[in-house]
Parts: sequence; structure tokens; C-alpha cells
Amino acid sequence: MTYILISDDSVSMRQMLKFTLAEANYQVTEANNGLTALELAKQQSYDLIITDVNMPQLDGLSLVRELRSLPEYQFKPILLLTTESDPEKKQEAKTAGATGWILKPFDPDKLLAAVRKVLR
Amino acid sequence: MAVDMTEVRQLFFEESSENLDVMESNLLDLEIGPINKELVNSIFRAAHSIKGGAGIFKFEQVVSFAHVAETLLDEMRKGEHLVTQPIIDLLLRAVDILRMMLSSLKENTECNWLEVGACQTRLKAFLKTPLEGESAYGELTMSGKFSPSPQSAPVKLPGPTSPLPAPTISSTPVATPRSLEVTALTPVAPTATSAMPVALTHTGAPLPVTPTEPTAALAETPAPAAPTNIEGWQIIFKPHLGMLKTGNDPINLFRELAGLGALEVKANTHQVPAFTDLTPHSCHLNWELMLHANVAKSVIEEIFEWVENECDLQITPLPILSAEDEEQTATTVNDELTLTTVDSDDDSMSSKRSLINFPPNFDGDETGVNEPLPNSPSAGNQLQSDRGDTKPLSPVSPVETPLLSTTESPAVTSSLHSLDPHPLEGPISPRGNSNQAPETGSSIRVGIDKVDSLINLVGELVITQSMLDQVGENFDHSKLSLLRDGLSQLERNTRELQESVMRIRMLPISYSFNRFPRLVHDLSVQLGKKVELKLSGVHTELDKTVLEKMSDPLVHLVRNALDHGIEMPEQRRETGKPEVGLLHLHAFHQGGNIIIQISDDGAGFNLARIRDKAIKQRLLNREDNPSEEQLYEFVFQPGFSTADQVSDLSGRGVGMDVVRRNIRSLGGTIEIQSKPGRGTTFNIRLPLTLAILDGQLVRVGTEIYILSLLSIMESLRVKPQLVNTLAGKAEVYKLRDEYIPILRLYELFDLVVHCTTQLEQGLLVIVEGDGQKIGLFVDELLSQQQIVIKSLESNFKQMQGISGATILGDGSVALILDVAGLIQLFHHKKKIPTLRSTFTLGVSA
Repeated sequence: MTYILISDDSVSMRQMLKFTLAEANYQVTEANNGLTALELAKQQSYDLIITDVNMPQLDGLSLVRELRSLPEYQFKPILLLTTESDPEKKQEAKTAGATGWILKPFDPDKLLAAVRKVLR
Repeated sequence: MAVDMTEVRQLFFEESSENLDVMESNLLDLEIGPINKELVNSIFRAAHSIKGGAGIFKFEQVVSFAHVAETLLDEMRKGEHLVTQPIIDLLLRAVDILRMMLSSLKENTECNWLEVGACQTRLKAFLKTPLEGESAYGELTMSGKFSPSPQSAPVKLPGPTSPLPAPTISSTPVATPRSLEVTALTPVAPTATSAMPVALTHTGAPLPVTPTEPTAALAETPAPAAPTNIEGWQIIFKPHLGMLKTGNDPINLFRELAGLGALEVKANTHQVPAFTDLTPHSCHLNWELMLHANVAKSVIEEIFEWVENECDLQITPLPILSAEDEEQTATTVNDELTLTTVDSDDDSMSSKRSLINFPPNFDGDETGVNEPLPNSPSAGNQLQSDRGDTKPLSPVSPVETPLLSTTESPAVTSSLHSLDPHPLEGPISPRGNSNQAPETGSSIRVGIDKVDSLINLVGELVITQSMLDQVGENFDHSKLSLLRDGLSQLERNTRELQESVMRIRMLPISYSFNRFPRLVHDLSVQLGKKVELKLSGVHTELDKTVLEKMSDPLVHLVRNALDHGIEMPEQRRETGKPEVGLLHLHAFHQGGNIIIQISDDGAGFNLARIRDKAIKQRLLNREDNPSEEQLYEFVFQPGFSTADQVSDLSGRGVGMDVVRRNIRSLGGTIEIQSKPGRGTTFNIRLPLTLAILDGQLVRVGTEIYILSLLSIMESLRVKPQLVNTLAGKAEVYKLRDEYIPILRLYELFDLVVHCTTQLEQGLLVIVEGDGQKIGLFVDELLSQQQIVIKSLESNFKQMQGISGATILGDGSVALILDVAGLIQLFHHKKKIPTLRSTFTLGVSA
């Protein structure tokens, strides 16, 4: 079983992610902000974390930094959901330690393609 | 993908509406001047969420619009703008536009695209930096050529700004070394602990080539057009030492590449240090890959997109080989096949629509290769792709490759979706372009604490029940006290459970109050008045239905207060009041009721004017001397307005009667307190819930009726000397200084059996409804209890004077009396005009 943690403050976005990933037989856990995501990630080991960038409490980039500081998530794939396509933002994501990004809007196929790209 | 988008779509609309509320209230909180970063951030986030969600559903216009608004907000939070009234107003306008767009999408109705375009243009005019990459969001052409239906709107395809690079192929043969230093290639895994064999291709031999059969399939594929004379690509991939630290694993990249076509992987172990110096978490390997696939360079680049800055990457095309070579190498490929053929059926990864068509055994599980350590980089596995007889692979993967390109040009896919007349259509009812959610199928959000308390109570109920069970077994007199305890516990459980269930329907009044900051802001600007709005008791909860039905009356009262109540600044200054008027909305509990107060410190009601108007409209005689309450009563008469001029907002005289009717239909009351020059307060009293009322049981003959406790002022024994008869028609009772009409219920309901007809033998219950009092003559008062209201109208026609029925403890049915209806009925029967009667009585006293 592959466990994926998704973190987004938008319910519809979470639903969308969850439906799509669950359909592809991934085990999905939801968090509605970065802080919750971090707590959840500490409790259980996830194979992949997908997080939004703009979130209350703890934003996506800070979440990535926090996760990378944990031994468990040093090498785990972390994908950022972002609408920004400019190179600066991408570099910021990489510097924070993100594996990659998924540009919003995306369709289910695109999401799964991105997920499969980092999960074996 | 059988994802149930209808539900997500519904959720998106609910959420967006909440986000718009957040934007609106935060915008109203913004103060002119420097940026309040926190507020702007939260407005930005809300806009951003809407944009993101809209993108999922291909609501291109919403995305495009939200994008412009978001860009402006982004500039604001970067401190590039000061907060000015025009910006606030414009952003508020943008909120309205978004609301309109979303509601028209939700209800599948027309949207005023001209307004959208106008607002978007105005937003753009504010931007400091011109929008870049507009095409990425399917920018609309705003030249007024909007398509009527949002779903079939033409989306301008990205023009020359398309990020897709045209594949450039150098015609000169690339001078890359055909064979690397073979001797150096030894099977070494990046981690010392995992002994992964690195399956290397034979070296020195001519490069294996695959027949270029997929070209036929490619002809059908849209952009990016693959170069036709390309045999494949050589990729030199040298990851930086730290690449693994971002969670990128080369094997995943290779797997992606292998999905495009036959792939040869050669690992270069030159850089791998001695075992003792090895850092397991650094990537010491680099690779040379040969991809035999006729794909655009951009497709390959995209696979490496995430590691672009963490590696040295060289992608060079392989020139097409001669037919002779091809034949030769084709055999070679077949000879060196080490992997089994693809069986796409039992592989979840290679579903028809998936991008990745990858042999199942590539992950190493089935070929007996040790699974790499969880966190260790597992690059350099036996990544040698096959090509020989993998027929399912070749036609599928190239055709599917364009999917990849969609990431770069969402507008392409968007436009395709836009052509679909009914994408993701939910159950949409054709309704007007309203801001209100449809009543049917509406949902309610309940706090988890409420649900928890409910579960807790049910648990207690179960305990009580089992306790009573125990008592019931072998019951004798000694257990009587236990039974009593159990029953009282049951009663408590039931009451708590009932309250708890009721609370589920309760929503804080802030749901209704929250729209007023905006309303007051807009109105005060429009009227040129200065108004401060104060909200208090916003957490007071009331029934959802009550809340929804109170919405319009409240808006009306607030409009009235602003339009007629609060004076213009100059006028206020003259009268020694502060320029800024105060409008206060206050909600609180009182007894079993919710009280909503709307008070202003404006001019107050002009009683003389009301009187004049009433006389003019022949509602009052010149010689009458009505009380204040009676004068206020005129305000609630249809068509009664004291305003000299009919304005846009109010003054047409329709309204207050509607307001009161709405409140009454909820079982509530409204009263006015006003002091000339000091202001007006409207007190609205509403029941907590519509389903249950505190009732007083009364007996008339053998019948039992129920009166709402709230309507009862007092009950008294009749002193015969205080009863007067008026013109042989009506009886009145002198209660202190008032004359109160007596209504004999047995008479009204034609009851004959065992009824007390002598006034002094029964009781008079003084009740109030519609601001009038009446004495109901009953035989006796019984108990008070909570009554569950059952509607009669579903089975019987509506009866004046009766608001419903209930089932009593003994199973009998009792009718609930509607006091206001009874009073009307009484006046009708006695042919006494409603208002005049009381005045005349008052005067004659």
C-alpha cells in the first residue's frame, strides 16, 4: 500500500486529489494546513507528500523545509501544488527541498502522471 | 477516470462562496494607507483558492479573472500599492463579479460578460507590471466578443507566446562519443549496502537501433510535432551530489524515459569514491542514456524538469541510421533482451490512459533484484529497455505522449473541454441569477463538537435504558425509587438529546450579519452619509430556517435605518451629534427567544408625521388620540410611508408590512422604540426553533388547546363587575387602564359539551398578538410543556386561528392556537375594525 499525505486548505482541492489518488489505489490522508500536515507526517510515514503552497498556519515551502529536516523525510518525494509557473518560484521550491511541482490547474491524468513519476 | 466530480464541484461552489465572504469582509477591514499584510495575504489566499479550484473545472473565465485580481493582490502584499478607496472598491466589485460568475456557472445561467470584461480591464489598469504568461490561463479576448454560454466559450489559444519550444534539430551529426570507456563501467550501486546489479549494455558494438515504426501513429498526434528524421536522443545526465536530497530518484526519471521508447542506460561509475569514503546519500553516478523514440526534445526536457538545476544535462538528437545498420542493430536488440515482454493487462501502471507504459518488472520486484533500501537512491538498476517484441508499447506510448505537452499549454486541453457543452454537469436547476443558494438539497455544516455531544448523549440514553431494563426485571415495590431515578434520568437524557439535535440546525447569526459591513459600506457611499456599523452577539445561534428567512427583513431594516434614520453629516453636526452615525446590530438570547436589535442614533420616527399621514389615509380620525405603540402600528401597514420622496432604497411604503409578515411567519414579533432626534431601535423577537414551542395547555369543555407561552401576558379570574358589553356585540374586560376584548373560545369553536359559560367560573387568559391584546376565556389552565409542532396543512386546509397540532402524552391530538389569527377572526366576527376599536375604547374610557 502506498501512503500519500495531501495538504491543502481548499476542501474541493483536497477532495479532487483524494478522489483521483484513491481511484488509483493510493491510501490518502488529508490535512487542511501545513501544521496539521507536519504533525500527521510525524505520526506516520508517508511515501509521498503533496502540498499546496499558499496555506494558513504553515505554508507549503516551510512545510517542505520542516519535513526535510526530519530523518524520515530526507529523501521522500514531496510535490508542491502551485499556480506559479515562473522560474523564480520553481527555484524557490527546489531550494526548499521539494522534489517537484504540479502546476494548477491539472486534470486527474496529469496528477497521476506526476505522482507516478516520483513513486515506484 | 470515474471521479465523481459532481460532488467536488458542489464543494467548490460552497467553498468559493466562503472564500468570497472572507475576501469581502477582509476588504472592508482594510484601512486606507499602508498595507496590512495579514489581511491582504488572507484575501490573496482566498482569491488564489478560487482560481485553483476553478482551474480544475475548466472555468477558464473565472480563472482568468481571478488571476488578474490575484496579481493585483500579490502586488499589494509586496507593498507595491497603498490601500486606497478606489482599490478597495474595485476589489469589492471584483468579489461581486466572481460571485456572479460562479453563481451563473452553478445555476447554468447567463452571466453578464460585459461587466466581467469591464471589471477585468479596470483591474488590469491598476497593475504595475503587465501580466505575463496570460496565455497560460486561457486568457479571454475581452473585446466584447463573449460567447453566451460559459461552457462553450472560445478560449484563445496561446499564440506565439506558447512555451513549447519548436524542436530544433541540428542537421550536422553530433560528435558524441559512440562508446564510453567500457572498462570503467562496473556494476556498482550508489549505496554500499545494496548490491544492485547494474545491467549494462554491451559496449563497443554499434548502437542498438529500433525500427521507426511509430511514425504512422505519430502522424495523428497534435503538437508538439515530433521531428520526423530523428532516430532518438542521447542524454548525458550528470546529477549533482545533492540531487537525491530533493527526493528525486534517477530510476524514476529513467522509467519515465523508458515509457517513451526503448532506452539504453549506461552508468558511469568513475566518480564513485572508495567504499570507505562513500556517502550513501550522495549521487556519485552519472549516466549516458540512449532513447530510441521519435519524440520532441521538450518531452524529454520535461521529464528532467524537476531536476533541471540539480544536474548537468545534455540532450542531443541521434541521426537516423541507414537501413542496413538498422537491420543489424534490430537483431542485436532482440539478442540482448533481458526483460520479459509487456503484459499491460495485469499492470496497474499501464492503464490505457496512463502516461507510463512500463514493464511491470522494471521496479525490480519480479526479476529477483533486491529491493533497494527505502531511502536509498536506487539508480543504476537493470534499466535496459526492450524493444524487440513489445508491440503493445510502441503504438501506445507515442500516441499518449502529447498528454505531457498539456502541462505546458493548458489552454489546449481547456479549449477541448470547452467544446464539450456539458462538462462535469451536476444536478443544476435552472434558477435566476441569485446570490442565494437553492433551497432544495441545501446542506448544513455542523461542528464536530455538536455531533460528538450527540453521540455522547445517545450513549447515556443507552445506559439509562439498560438501567431501566434491570429495574423492570423482577420488579417489586422495593425498586420503586430506582424506577423513579431511572425515569428522571430518562427525562434528562431526552431533553438533552432534544436540545442537542436542535443545536445541529443552529447557526451563528454571523452568517446573516456578515453581509452587512458590505451593505453599509456601499449604501453609505451611495448616500453620502458616514456610518459606523457595530455588530455584537454574532455568535448567537438560531435555527437555519429562521436565519435564512430573516435575511431579507434584516436587510430591509438596515437599509431603512441608513436611508431614513441616520442623517446627513452636516445635519448631524448641526444637532450636536457626531458626524459618523452609529448603526448597531445586536443579537442575544432572552428566555426561550432570540432577540435581534437594530438600532441607529439617527433622527427617530416623527410621530406627528405618522399621525398626519394616518389621518390623510383615513386610518385615523383627527380627534383620535392614539398611543405611541398604536402610531408605530401604522408603520407596518401596507402602503404607509412617511418619506416625502421615494428613493432607490426605500420609501415606497412597501416593506415594513412585508418585514412584519416575514417575522410573524416565523412566530416572531417586531416592535419599535424611537425617540425623536435620538434614534430608533427595532426589537425582533424570534423563537429559537420552529419545530418546538413552549406551550400552555388550556381546557375548554372536553377539548384541550395549546397556547404559546410567549403570547400569554397573564391569566386571571374574571371579576364580573369589570366586564362591559359594547353595543350588545362585544364584551370587554377592564384590566387596569385598558379595555380588553373577551373572546369566548367555546363560542368560537362551537363547543357545547360541558363548557363553562359563566365568566366568573372560568379563567381569562390575556394574550398578545400583532400588538393587540385579547382575553381568551377558557375553563382552566393545565400544564405547561414543550410541544412538538405538527403541521396540519399537509392534510387539511389552513384554518384561521389554528397554527398546527401536536400529540399529547396520552396520545390525543390537541390544536395549537394562533393568537394573531384569533384576534383577526374575532374582529371579523364582531365586525369591529381592527385598529379603530381599540382607539375608541381607549377614548371612551
